[in-house]
Amino acid sequence: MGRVTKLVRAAPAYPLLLPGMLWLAVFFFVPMYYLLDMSTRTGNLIEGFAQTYHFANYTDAITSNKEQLIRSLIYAGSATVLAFLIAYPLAYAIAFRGGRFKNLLLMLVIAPFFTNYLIRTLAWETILADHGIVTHTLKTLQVLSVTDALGFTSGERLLATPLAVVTGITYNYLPFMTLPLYVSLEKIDKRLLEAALDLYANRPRAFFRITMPLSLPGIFAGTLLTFIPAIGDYINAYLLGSTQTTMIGNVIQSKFLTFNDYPSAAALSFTLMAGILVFIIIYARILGTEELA
Amino acid sequence: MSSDQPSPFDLNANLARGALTRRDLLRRAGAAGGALSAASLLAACGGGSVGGASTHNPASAVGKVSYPHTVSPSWNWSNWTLYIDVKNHRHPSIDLFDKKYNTHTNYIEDINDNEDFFGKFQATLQAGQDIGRDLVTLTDWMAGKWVQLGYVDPLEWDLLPNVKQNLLPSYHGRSIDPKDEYLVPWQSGLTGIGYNSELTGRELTTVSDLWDPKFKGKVSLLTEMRDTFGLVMLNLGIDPSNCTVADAQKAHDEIKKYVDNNQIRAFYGNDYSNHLANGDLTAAMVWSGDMVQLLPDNPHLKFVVPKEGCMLWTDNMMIPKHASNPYNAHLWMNFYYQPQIAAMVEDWVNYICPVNGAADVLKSGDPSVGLPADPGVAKNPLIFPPKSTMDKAHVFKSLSPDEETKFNQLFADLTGTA
Repeated sequence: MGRVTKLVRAAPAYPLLLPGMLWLAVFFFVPMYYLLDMSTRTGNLIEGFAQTYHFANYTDAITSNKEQLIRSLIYAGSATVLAFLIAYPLAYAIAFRGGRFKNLLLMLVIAPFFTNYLIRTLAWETILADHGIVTHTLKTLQVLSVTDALGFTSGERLLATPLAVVTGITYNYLPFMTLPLYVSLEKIDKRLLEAALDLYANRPRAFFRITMPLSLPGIFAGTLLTFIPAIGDYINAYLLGSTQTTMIGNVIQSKFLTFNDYPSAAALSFTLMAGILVFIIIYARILGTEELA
Repeated sequence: MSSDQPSPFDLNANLARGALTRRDLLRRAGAAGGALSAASLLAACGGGSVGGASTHNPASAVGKVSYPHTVSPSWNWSNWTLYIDVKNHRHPSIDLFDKKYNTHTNYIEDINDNEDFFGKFQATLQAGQDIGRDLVTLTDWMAGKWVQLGYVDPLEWDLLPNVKQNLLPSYHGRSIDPKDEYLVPWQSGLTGIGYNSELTGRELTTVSDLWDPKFKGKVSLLTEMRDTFGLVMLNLGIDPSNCTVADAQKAHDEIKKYVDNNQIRAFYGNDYSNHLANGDLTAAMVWSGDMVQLLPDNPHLKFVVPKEGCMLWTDNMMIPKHASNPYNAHLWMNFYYQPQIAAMVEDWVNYICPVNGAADVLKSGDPSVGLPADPGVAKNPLIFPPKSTMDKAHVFKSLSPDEETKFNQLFADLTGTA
């Protein structure tokens, strides 16, 4: 079938795209444009921000917030790895061993989403409280002295430490990791595994040669869906962290809302977006899932 | 029952009104993120009048005192959420006013954040247009900013005999409005120190007590720059109502020591309440309004005004430039400054009342406005502080834009968001 015929055949579908396109235009491209425009301005809220094509906003934003940028990368990366380690066995169990409870189990994965994000994070404040059972138990087992030594916690407490922030992020984005993994694992043809076993592969080998590669699209989607929002997250760092655990999201938030320094905040936002984009491209190349990249 | 005649020590009433104080909302709004203020942001970015302000009736925008002294059939007042008496989904004090003057008050609870509100209307005000509000209620430093920028109409004191008579003396000549030309206080709060006496094992009396090594990692300061810097400046012998960038630097350097050695656990908004109540924090800088709700449930908690002084913040009523119905706004301010009306509001709100005589009304109640006696509120030193406390209360000075940027930068360095 020729290219033109294809286009003509698809023609009735174009009007259907309209709502989505309009949505994108109004709520994505227009704000993006304002943000980009703002990022090279100078001035203050009262006298107004004048467009001066001050590109130094970008270099300033990066150099003065290096610490938070690196920290965000580390926290989001750790949370993604942790979420993966928790979600993969979970998704695997539901997909392969779930049986008739599959749907129920999936619902349990999403269940925390029935509650507001803020409330869920506030709940962790209580769970990790200094006088709470978790902290007490870990203290008794001397775990906290180990994590203190490693720099994950400080002062034998959980709250207001890096560990609490990473825990919070991991928890909050776990379903974003679990669901794509489940989808890709669920659609694996079980006969392929039987064939592998028939051909004398042992179970670990069958897993690494069949299951793992076939679930790559899920791994790709899951890690991105976790990592990208996690790196810009600031609620966890705000509620569960301290002054030593602020992430780049906290900086952007305070620049926008507290200090009304819109240009630096916009420049930082764009830097973050560009960074993520580059990361995705490299990541897609490495993982080589062409259908997604 | 209690919802009709709340006392500050009544759990139900406290739940009803205390579940979400206005500062709580402010905090949560901040945490809930950019979404909330996206509109104001867009408005600010575009420089347009997206703020939803009505710009009709330019005829009234002629001059200061040349408006007619006649009651308009309706007028608009913007205030913070949960910041006036409520009964059966109505506001009894406003109902009385509407009935007396045969008008209709559009009471708009659309202030969640000083900066947000400013961002929303700044472009319209700058353009010299009516923002569709006859009265707005903003916190000291923001009110001062509006005054500085010429966004506020001067008061006509002849219309405000009750304010003249009943405004507590400590509110006169504040640094943000030295000649009392623009602002009439609505409610106030104190910033002081809250601590868990069981954990400290002793009384705290000064900000220096927060730096006791025994409380390491169990101390929090406030995310509000003016409150935190203010208290620390007082501790260093600096007057926050007349301070310089160099003074802010000194306060910064003092606090920095304790951020770096982990003495300070974090900077909190209202969320210190939880941490203080459950013992994660031993001592903290706190707001009196929150303590009114916390103390009855937590017998070990104490609120103390540091001996070197405390900070006082006030939300002020003021008339935006080019307002359409300034006469109604004056009538309301004068109406509110009757002790029995202020008492009605105070019985529900529990911040500090600037109206002299309201406490006496609450002691005995006033059947003429349907107000039962509520001596608990009347005697509460956090709602009606003794003169000795008010004498120690300081108001942060009004910062110029340049100073504000520098102060903010110093503060951001402390909170880790520089």
